[in-house]
Amino acid sequence: MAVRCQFENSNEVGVFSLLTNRYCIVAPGGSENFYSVFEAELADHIPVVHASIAGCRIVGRMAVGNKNGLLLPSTCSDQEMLHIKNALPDDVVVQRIEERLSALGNCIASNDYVALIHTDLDRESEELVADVLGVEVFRHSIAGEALVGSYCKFTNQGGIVHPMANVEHQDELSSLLQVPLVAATVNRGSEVVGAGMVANDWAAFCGLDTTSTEMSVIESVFKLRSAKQSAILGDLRTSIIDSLAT
Amino acid sequence: MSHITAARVGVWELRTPACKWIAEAVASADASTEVDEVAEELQDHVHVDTPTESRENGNDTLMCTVCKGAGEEQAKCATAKALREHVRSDWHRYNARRQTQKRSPVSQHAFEVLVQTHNARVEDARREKTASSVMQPGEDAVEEDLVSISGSGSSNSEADTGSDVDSYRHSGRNRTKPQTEAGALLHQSFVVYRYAGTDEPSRSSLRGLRVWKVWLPDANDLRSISRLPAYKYCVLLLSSGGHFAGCVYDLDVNVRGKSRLLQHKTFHHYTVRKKQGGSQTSSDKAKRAKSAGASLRRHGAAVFAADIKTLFQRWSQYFADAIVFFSAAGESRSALFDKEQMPQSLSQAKTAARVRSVPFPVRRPTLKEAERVFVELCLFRWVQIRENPGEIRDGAQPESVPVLKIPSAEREREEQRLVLEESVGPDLAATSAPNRTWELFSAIVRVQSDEELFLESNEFSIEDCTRPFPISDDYVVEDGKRVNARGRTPLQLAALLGKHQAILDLLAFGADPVLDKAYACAPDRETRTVFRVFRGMHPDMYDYVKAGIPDAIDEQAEQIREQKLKEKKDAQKLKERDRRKAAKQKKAAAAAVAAAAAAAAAHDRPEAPAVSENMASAKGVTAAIENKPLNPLEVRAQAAEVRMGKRCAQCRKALDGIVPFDVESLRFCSVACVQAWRKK
Repeated sequence: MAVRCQFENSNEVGVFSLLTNRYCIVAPGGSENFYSVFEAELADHIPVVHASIAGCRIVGRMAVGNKNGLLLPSTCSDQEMLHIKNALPDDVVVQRIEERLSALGNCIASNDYVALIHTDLDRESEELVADVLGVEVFRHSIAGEALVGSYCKFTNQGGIVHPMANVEHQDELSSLLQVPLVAATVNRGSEVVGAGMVANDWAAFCGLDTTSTEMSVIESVFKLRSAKQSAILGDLRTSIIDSLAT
Repeated sequence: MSHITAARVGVWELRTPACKWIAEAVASADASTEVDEVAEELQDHVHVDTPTESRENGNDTLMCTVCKGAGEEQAKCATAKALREHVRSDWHRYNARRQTQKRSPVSQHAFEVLVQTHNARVEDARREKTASSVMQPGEDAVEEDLVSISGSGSSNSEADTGSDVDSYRHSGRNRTKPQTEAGALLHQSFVVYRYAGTDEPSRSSLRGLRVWKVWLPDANDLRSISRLPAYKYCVLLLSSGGHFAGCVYDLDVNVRGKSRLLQHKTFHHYTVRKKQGGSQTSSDKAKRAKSAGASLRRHGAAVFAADIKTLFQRWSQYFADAIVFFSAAGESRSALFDKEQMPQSLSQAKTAARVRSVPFPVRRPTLKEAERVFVELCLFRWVQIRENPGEIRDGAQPESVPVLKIPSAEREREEQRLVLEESVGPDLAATSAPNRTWELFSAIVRVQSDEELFLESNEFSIEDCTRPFPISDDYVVEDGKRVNARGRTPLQLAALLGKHQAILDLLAFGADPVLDKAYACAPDRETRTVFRVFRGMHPDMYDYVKAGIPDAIDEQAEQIREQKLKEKKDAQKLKERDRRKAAKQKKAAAAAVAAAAAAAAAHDRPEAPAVSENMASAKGVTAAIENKPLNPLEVRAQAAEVRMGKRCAQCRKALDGIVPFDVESLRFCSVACVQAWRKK
């Protein structure tokens, strides 16, 4: 299920939170509204952690992670890193990374198996991404934009990219990432899809402005409805078969 | 592979030949238009090269959208796997980078050529310590990208020529410097190319002169070199981490190929936090520590600033008519250019943009480093790339090779002038004689040390062999030796290079060793021997006493002498080895005796005080162990023996005469002991 929420009047959910299949990091806010939305949805399955990075609340743009690990920028303090390390599951590797481009969330887009990175990232950083996140790394740009983390969002199920990416480009990307991709927007036409939403394999959160068309695209491409659908289909099928049999 | 020949032309010659050459070369051909034309041509070529194919089968085959612009055929990937492979390739990375910079992609072949050239250059740069490089502004970004995709260095891609101008015009702005020396070379220097051979602009026929951009009045425009002001002094200020080194050079006075060092000063104060790094001043901005160390460092910083102030006051006369180069970042820079403390002449120099930053990385400021930096700054370096003609195919010219086209008639004249620019006198340049000198020069340089020169057959005159070389390409590098040929006679050059047969030939031909005292140039004994051998062969040809050549020696006699010397040395070595061996044996024996005595002492007990080392048999000792309670010393000795494997690890029985049971590095006397140990 995709959920709409807002962080202190901002729709850029992906800026203030970081969601993976194993953990969720949420920026500390003035009120607990934002946090409670995440907690209500996720707390039964994964830890939802309050954390800041380098004293900033833009955790989603500063850090990048997946089920295997979490990469923090070099500006992150020891205390913050320790806090995150303690709160996350033990087998998630937390690592700081010395990289000139310190907004890792903007420069790296990743699911549990592949990552796209900014073309200017260091070779050493690339290796670190591959090691810590346990992914295959590709240097690519999205619709001519180097900030791959901002302009696309993909999980193991599927993903959305910058609306200006043409079909050819989408094909290329989806064969690279091996997940279905669509060009889409969030938050009533915002093209920074990475910053406008967060998603993992079973949940997604997007800004309060997101239209229902956008929601339906997101739910379908991230396969957030599929479980329910198949359940209904299964139920129906049995009843149909039952009715046919009688 | 490429080969770089480098020659130095000092900065005092900025107003003379090399400088003139650049100015003329630039003036004779409109640089910017030519560069653009070539670039355009190549761009066209790249595009023509790509087959414009319809996208009928676009659905079947995948294509890299980034590299597509450089050739659809190459960018096509049959399967997703092939595409993934492609995306991981350096070619794609390079193109992806270019795409983000809004530049057109390059074809795979062009990329390979680029990489080759780059690698060759890096290699050369490494070989020569003070690396030289061949860069044009247009190519900077190309090289920069290559460096970054190969992961060998990092630098700022924005630093194109435009921002370089700013960087020294507004030196207050803190600019990230390229991290590597090579990176600095790529950005900060101009090379004027001229092609010597074919009409096609190929790298192999290029010859260039490198100039650091910081020297130019307008860093963006090489032509401005003709307007270069006549600075009287060059002030060099290096400062980092509490270290300071400053030098003042007099550019008008030339001492042995270098400007004269007028003043220099180095000092150091404790200002930097050793463990955390960073200066105390900068950390104070965040949090003011109260520790003793912090106050020490604060005091150090204050003294450092005061020292700089007094020094600048003392040097203020120089700043008025100097070009100032500095290398200092952050706090060190603000300490150098403190508005209140700067003498007026320096602030004037700053407003007149005569204060510029050193365009390459500088190590810890010392006088030696300052000297190095100065020499590196002042070098105009001749650069030439020669490549295997097979390596570059037609039409594979990567990017633009900016070339200043100089008409061929003019080119010859230029060439001659270059060779003769420092000729000893104008009359020499007018005649044809210098050409012969040049030939002789290259003959001597090229000849193998045991090969004959054939002076007669090449029709050199005696004058040729005695006249000093007027060559400005004055450094000959051979077998790791660097030899300055300027002003040397052929005989001196041959002596310097150790070309034995050439020395003999020249002497026999009539090159007088009395006039040039060539004997003094001989770098090693073998070469000196050649002179003496010649004296032996021709005892009356020259006045050898005046030439400083010692008594003649017979070649054979010399060989015999050497043989003897060698034998003597060998004998000495052998003796030494024997002596050492004997000493070693002696030592070992002494150690053995000591060990035995220690063992005996360990076993020594009141009951058996007379047990000598060979009498301490296993049985006697074990019997004693079983009967008597042990004192701690004995327990320790036994434990040591267990560790050495001389006793059973369980019952402590001596293992002499028993075949022991080895279990995990322990030894046991019997199966029962092993079992007991296992149970334990």
